[in-house]
Amino acid sequence: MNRAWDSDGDPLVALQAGDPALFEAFVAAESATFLGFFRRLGAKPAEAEDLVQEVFLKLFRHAETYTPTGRFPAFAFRIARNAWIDRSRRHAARPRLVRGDGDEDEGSLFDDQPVDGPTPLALAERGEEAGRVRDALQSLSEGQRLVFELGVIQELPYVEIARLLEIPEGTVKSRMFHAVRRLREVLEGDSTEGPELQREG
Amino acid sequence: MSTNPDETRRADEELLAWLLDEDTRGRTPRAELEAQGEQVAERLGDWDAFVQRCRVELAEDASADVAQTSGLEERILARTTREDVSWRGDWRLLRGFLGQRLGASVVLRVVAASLLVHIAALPVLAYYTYLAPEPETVIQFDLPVGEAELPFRDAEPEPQPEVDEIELSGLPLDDPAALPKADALYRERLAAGVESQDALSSALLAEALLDATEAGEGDREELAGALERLERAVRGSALTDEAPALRALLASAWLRASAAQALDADEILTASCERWLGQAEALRGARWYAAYLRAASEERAR
Repeated sequence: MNRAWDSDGDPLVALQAGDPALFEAFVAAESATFLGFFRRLGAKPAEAEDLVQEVFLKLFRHAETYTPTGRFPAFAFRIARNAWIDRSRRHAARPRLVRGDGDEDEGSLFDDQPVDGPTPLALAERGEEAGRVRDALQSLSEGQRLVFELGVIQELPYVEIARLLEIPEGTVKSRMFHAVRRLREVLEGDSTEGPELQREG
Repeated sequence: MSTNPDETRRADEELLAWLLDEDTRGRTPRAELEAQGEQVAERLGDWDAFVQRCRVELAEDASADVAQTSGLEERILARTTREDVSWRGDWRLLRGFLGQRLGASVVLRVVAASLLVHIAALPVLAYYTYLAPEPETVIQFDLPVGEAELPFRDAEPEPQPEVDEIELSGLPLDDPAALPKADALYRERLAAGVESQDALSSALLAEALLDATEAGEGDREELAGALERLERAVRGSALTDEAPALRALLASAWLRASAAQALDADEILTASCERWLGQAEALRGARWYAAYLRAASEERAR
C-alpha cells in the first residue's frame, strides 16, 4: 500500500467518527492496489473489479462494528483474502474440465485462461515482461501466490502474513522461498523442469 | 555456504526473510549478514535484484490494469460514502439488483425478454381489437323467475278422447304383415264414428228445423229465434255433402215464414231458396230430412 494508513489515520475509525474523507482517500489510493492483488491472484479484469468493490463495501459496512486490533492494511487484506476465498469456493462449485489423463482442470468451463500457468510458448508469444511475471505467478500454488503477494508486493511483515493466513511464520518463510525460486525458474529459465503447477510448498 | 541442500534452502529462506520482512531486517544489520561470506552477499544481491525486478514489473502491470479500469473509484464511492439515499438511490439500487440478477441467470433473462415482448405487443393487440367490428349481441341480465304457484288450481276438464285416438287403440300396428287388416279395421271404426256423429248432427238439425217450422205459427220473435238456432245448427254440422239439401229446407222455412208474414224475407235469400227448391229431390235421401219428417209426423199426431 502506498500510505501507512495506521499512522495517517485509520479510515474505518474516521468513518465511525463521521468523517468519510479518509475512507474516500483510502479508496482513491488503494483501488489499484486491490485490483492488482486480485489480478495477480488470477482474477479476470471484470471479476477483479467486482472483487475490489466487494472489499471496499465490506470495509465500509464493517465500520460500525470495527475495533482496531492491528495494522489496518493487514485487516484490509484479510477482507480481500476472504473475498478471494469466497470467489474460489464459488468457482469450485462450478463444473470443471477433466483432461483425458484424469487430471482436473482448475478453471471453470467458461474460463479461457487456465489457472495452472501458461506454457513457455505462451510466455514467449506474449513478449511483455510485466505480463510474463504475472503469468509466471500463475504457476505458483495459491498458498505460495498469496504469501508472495503479501510479502513482496504489499510488503507486509511475515508475522502479519502468518496471522492473516492463519499459518505459522516458518511456513510463511518456506512458502516465500519456494515461490520466489519457482518464479526465477520460470522467468530466468534456470530450471531443468518446465513450468508446471506446484503443490502447496 | 553449506552444500547441504536443506541448509542451503534454510539459508535462502533467511536471506529472503531479511530482504522482505522488516522485523527480521530490524534484528540483523545488512553488514552483519554480508560479513558471513562473499557467497552470502552474492546470493543476497541476487534475491534482492530479482525481488525488485518483480516489484517493478508487477507495478507496471498493475498500472496497465488501472488504466483499463474506468470509474471504479466512483462506483465504489457511489455505493459507500456517497450513496444516494433518496428515491433516486432506491431506484439505482433496484436497477443494480435487477442488473445483477439478470446477469446471473439465463432463465431470468429469457423470462424478462418474454415479458417485454408481451408488453410491447399489448398496444398493437388493443389497436386491432379497436378496429374490429363490435359484436351485435346484447348482454341481458334476467332474474330467474320460478313457476308461479297459484293458490288454487282450476279443475282441468276431462280429456275428451278424439276419434282418431280411439280408433287407433287396439289395432295391430306393430306387425307389418297385419297392416292391411289394421287399415280395414280403422276404416270400419272411422265409418262407425262418422255415422254416430251424423246421427247426432241430424237429430240437432231436425229439432232446429222443427222448431223453426212450428215457431212461425206463434209470434215473430219466437220464429226469428228458431231460425237463428237452425242457422247455428247448420253451421255446426259436418254434413257438407248434404249442404245444398239442407239449405233448401232452410230456405223453405224462410219462405214459409215470409208467406205468413212472420218475417221480412230477404230478396237474395228468397232467390237462393227458389233455386235450391229445384234440388228438392236431394232431400229424399238425407237422413236428417227423414228425421225431420218423422219428428213432424209425431208432432202432428200429438
